[in-house]
Amino acid sequence: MIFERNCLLVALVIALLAPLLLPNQYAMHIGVLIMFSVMLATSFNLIVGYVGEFPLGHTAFLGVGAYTAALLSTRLAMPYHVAELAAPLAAALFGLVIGAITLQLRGPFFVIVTLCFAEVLRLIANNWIGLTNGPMGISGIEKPSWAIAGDALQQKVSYYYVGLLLAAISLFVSYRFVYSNIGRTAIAVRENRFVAQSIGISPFHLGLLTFVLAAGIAGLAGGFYANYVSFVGPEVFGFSFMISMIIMVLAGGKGTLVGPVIGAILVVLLEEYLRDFKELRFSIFGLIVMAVVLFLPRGIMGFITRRHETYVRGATRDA
Amino acid sequence: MDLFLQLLANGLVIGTFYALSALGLTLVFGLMRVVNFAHGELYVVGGLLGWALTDLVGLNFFLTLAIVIFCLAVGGYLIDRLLMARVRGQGEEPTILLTIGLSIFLTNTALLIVGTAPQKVISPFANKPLFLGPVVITQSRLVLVAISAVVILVAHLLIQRTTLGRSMRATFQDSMAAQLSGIRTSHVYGFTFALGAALAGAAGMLLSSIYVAQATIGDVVSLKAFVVVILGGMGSFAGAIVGGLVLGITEAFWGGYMSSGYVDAIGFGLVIAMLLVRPYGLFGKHAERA
Amino acid sequence: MLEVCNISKRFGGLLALSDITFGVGSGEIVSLIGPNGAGKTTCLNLITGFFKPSAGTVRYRNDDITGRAPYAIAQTGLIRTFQKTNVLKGLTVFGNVLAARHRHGETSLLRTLFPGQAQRSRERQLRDDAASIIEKVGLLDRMNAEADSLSCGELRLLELAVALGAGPQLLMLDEPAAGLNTEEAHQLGAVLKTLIGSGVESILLVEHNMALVMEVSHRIVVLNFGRKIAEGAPDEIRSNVGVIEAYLGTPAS
Repeated sequence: MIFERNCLLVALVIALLAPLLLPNQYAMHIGVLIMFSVMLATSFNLIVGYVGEFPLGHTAFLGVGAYTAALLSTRLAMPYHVAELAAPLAAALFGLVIGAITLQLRGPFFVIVTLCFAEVLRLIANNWIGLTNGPMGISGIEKPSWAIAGDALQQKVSYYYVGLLLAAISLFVSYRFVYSNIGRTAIAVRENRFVAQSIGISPFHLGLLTFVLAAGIAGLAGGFYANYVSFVGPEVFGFSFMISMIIMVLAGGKGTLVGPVIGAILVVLLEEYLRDFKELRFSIFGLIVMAVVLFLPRGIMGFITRRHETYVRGATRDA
Repeated sequence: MDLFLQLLANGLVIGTFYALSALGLTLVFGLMRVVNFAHGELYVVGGLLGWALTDLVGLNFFLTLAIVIFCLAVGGYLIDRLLMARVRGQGEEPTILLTIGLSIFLTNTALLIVGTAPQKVISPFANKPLFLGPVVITQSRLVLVAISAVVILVAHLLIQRTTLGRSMRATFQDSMAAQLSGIRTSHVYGFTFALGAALAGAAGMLLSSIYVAQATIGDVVSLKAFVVVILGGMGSFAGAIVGGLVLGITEAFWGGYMSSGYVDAIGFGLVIAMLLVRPYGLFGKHAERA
Repeated sequence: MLEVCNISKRFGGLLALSDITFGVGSGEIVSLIGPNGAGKTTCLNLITGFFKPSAGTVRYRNDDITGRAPYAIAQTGLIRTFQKTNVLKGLTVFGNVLAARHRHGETSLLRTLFPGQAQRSRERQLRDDAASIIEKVGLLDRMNAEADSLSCGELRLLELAVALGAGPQLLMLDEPAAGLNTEEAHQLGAVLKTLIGSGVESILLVEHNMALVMEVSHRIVVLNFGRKIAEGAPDEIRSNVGVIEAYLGTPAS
């Protein structure tokens, strides 16, 4: 707990100073993507690591958040901060409904049915032209005043700091959740469902709470994305974001808070490095997923945490 | 009335195809309790291989089918021995993740090799329309339904009547007992997965003579297969057939009488409803509720 | 306190339990014994909601709890352990017991996100309580050990600590003495006897270890082939012909 908190604080300090160290547009753009990815990964990690199920349809909440923000900005001319507040609420609502249905199932059935929900949403986004403009998507989302003030670099820096704020909020909420009494019960369910039930924990209700929280964070990310990119189309429900989330959480380390952050940085950098080679990139991602499952199932952070624990235990034993 | 019969015929045809394409998935689950998320990609590999052999090399249709079945079987066997075997016994999550990773890898490698353009397997059967009363159906589709039925029958006989089939069923009922009676269970797992892969590839090749062989359709195929096996019951042969027909007919009628944009969604609606009401499907045996 | 009335359980064609009726009163230690396969664990599963009875009812403090969800039954004060030791493997001993005491911790999401003084003192109390429970079962020196590094006997103690952490009124233990030697079983018996009156109201014990059963029980219920064949005080059961036959079989005639 202390170890993770310190790692996160160090990361925060570095992140705050980054624009001073790398004052160029491209680096700031990467920074924005990293902040966005950290939110997504943290959200996905809450379900994978703390409910213990694999929601292959998690992009549903990213998409709901993005479309909510986009629609509020364009159709109702709402300012950004309202849209950015509504996005996670809408996503959390969807999370409540979808979670109430899907959390009655386990294992591969949970995986498939969440995927079905995401697909239904994608089909709706694609076909309900009146609402979503179909495959053409919603474009021309108006940027708030702070995002158009100053030169191109300052605009990027503004987005970077807003993204950092949102990512920090996401991590703060997750941290408070995980290292709390409620978090302990969620971990208990993940570790041993039967024991958890026998001491009065309802796996369903706890799973639903975590699910809604995760959906909200994904929605937050979606709203931010919609405004930064200024365009939202049905592909926001698609598999490309899903693959990124899977890698970020698996390779970074599921069930830890720092893991998704590491995973997010790795994946964004890898995606940028291989930006021109989309198929090759995903091909490599596929290999990485398999390799992580076979050889590093706890991810990078899980590996580091284990070593750290062994080291601490060894040190106290010898002391 | 004519429209009704035509839609029904369309539904039965496509339903048979759905059943064939889902068979490998349900078998692997029924025998190994593994949901192969790369199922759609194996279908795609079969389709693309079929295209390469019939179009680029110019081989005979049925010879190609045999080669595709053989290649996919070998591939499936290797996937099981090299990948799945390593995480067997660690629970469901590793196998789910492993097959998801495999599906991502296969899709994008196929894209790299073949590109995004849709291809077709060259079929010796003409697209001549046949008139059965008020119903129109092309000759190639009709023949394909027949071939699909044969493939399904052969798979059924393989599992029920052969020694290999009996070894499979024994192993998955009780692997310790099977080992003690001399069955090489590691081979059995491999052969089962090989069978699943071969069926997926055969479906891919056959259906790509009517539809398309394209590197990107793996996800769609997997999703349809999931719908079929959940409707019919995971692990049930008859369930895959009934589930496929139900899906095909429902889609045909929905598309014909209502909107065509949401045709795919109806399947998902059925799945969600089914998972709430009868989670083990129409024919399944295990309740998968929380 | 606990009344089991005419419960039966059928698994497909197998009638695992048939028409079982017994009760556990306040302040009692009741043991459920019988040869392997008699249905003792099934009975426990039915009481605690992990299985649903095919027939019959279970009443706890005059409340019909038949077929309720396991977590809801646990929340009324009926806490059980499992035959094959089940603990939260990825956590430490301390973490296990902390989790067990969750109902005494902060349960509001809002206060979890923005903890105040009340939450902090509640958390401290939780930790103190957990530590004292660990001390009571005798695992204080292993408090920060990972659960998967404990020995078999220590795991059993941890399981007991977790059950105690959940604040049971009626504690149901499934073969807690399995794998313990005579000395350890005797110590367990002493611990069980001290529990009554210090928080735990009654204990239902499923056990094979006859010495322990005879030593601690106020009453014994005997099952065989899913049926109740005897019930009474330890002395009565010890000399009951039917019970002896169930365990040792009838002499060849």
